[in-house]
Amino acid sequence: MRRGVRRAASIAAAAALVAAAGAIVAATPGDDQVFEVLRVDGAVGERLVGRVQTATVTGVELADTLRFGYAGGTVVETEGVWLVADITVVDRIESLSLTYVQLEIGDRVFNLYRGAPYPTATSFESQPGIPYAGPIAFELPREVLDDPARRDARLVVRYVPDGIVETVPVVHLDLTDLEVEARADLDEARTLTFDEAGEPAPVEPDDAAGSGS
Amino acid sequence: MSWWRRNRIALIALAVIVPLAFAILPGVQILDDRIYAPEADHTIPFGEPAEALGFTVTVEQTVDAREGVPADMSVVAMLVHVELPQGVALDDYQCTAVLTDDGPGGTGERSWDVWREAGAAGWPYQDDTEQFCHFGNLVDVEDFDGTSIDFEFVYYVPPGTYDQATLEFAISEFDIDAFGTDEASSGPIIPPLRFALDYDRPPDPNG
Repeated sequence: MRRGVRRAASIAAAAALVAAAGAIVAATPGDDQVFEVLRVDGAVGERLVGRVQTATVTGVELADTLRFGYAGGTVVETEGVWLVADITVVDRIESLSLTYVQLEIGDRVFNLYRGAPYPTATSFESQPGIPYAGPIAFELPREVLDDPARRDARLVVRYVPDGIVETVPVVHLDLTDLEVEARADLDEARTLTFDEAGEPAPVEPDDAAGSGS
Repeated sequence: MSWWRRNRIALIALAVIVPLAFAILPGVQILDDRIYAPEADHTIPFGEPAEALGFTVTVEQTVDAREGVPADMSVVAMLVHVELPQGVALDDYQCTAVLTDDGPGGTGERSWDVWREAGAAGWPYQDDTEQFCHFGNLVDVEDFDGTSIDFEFVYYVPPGTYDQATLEFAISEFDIDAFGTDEASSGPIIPPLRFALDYDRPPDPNG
């Protein structure tokens, strides 16, 4: 009898340990959570400040065709639909690329269209501290126009594909009210003054041309 | 045999391991602090030469130009004179020239690469200067005599950068045949030379 009680107690203890271990495993964040970016959320027109980049989306449009406003004005067709966002960016520390910016609609993630010729915003030779602006494009399947998640599409301004802990600007876009235009223009990226970009100008030493220390 | 006696090996081990563990934690911290301590300031004063891998590097002239610069920004340009080592293959060396500052409000060190568009934007490069850091296959120098190179590095920066900026000039050995592999950068890794600019400069000649 006594032996039976002991055995039952052992089994219960072992089961409890296994359950506790399972709970710990379930509660431990995986790589996807540990290395997820830290999002700085905002809307169109807001200046969002990440550690290495600030970003402001100034406008969004949908269109059936894409036309380059330079390089001979080539027109690009699609079976789907183009989303073009005008974005103003400042690299804060070193020169970065917009190549890895993504658009999230519901659970789906779309990568940037990289076919535009230089000097589009995705291939711009940016300089730290100097604002630049240009349109970026995404080629989306037609059915996103009926996806209820298009009410809260998210433009994630990340500068590497994944696996980083970093603050990144995330611009929330409402695509429900947008008409699909016949054509969107994709112009060259260009440098902006601080005024044009809505960025604070750097504080200069009083005697910029005189002696420093 | 008492319980103490029977477990004496384990007890001795505990007596050694537990204090050791407590000693290691602060010890690691002290080592960390030493390894990651900020380096002493080795900034080379403006106009003084510095030597690395047989190359003697001197920053000879620096300017903060404001006129004709796109978007009312600033151009930091400099002449860097490099005396070359003799009897070596220059193709086996590479260099980088990066302008750095500490960033506004402690955002972290910023770094600028040489502005590739400077010529297209109208920067008046001097004759016989190289625009990008390299030692082999010199294209912009006529009558190269093998003893020295003059570089003219141009950076496109926000206004006010000049007065806190330094030039980081790094030279390393380079195996062109191993380009693209881990072995391409051979030889010792030496820290970049950090040069001060001419902070007591006369007013901008262009502006």
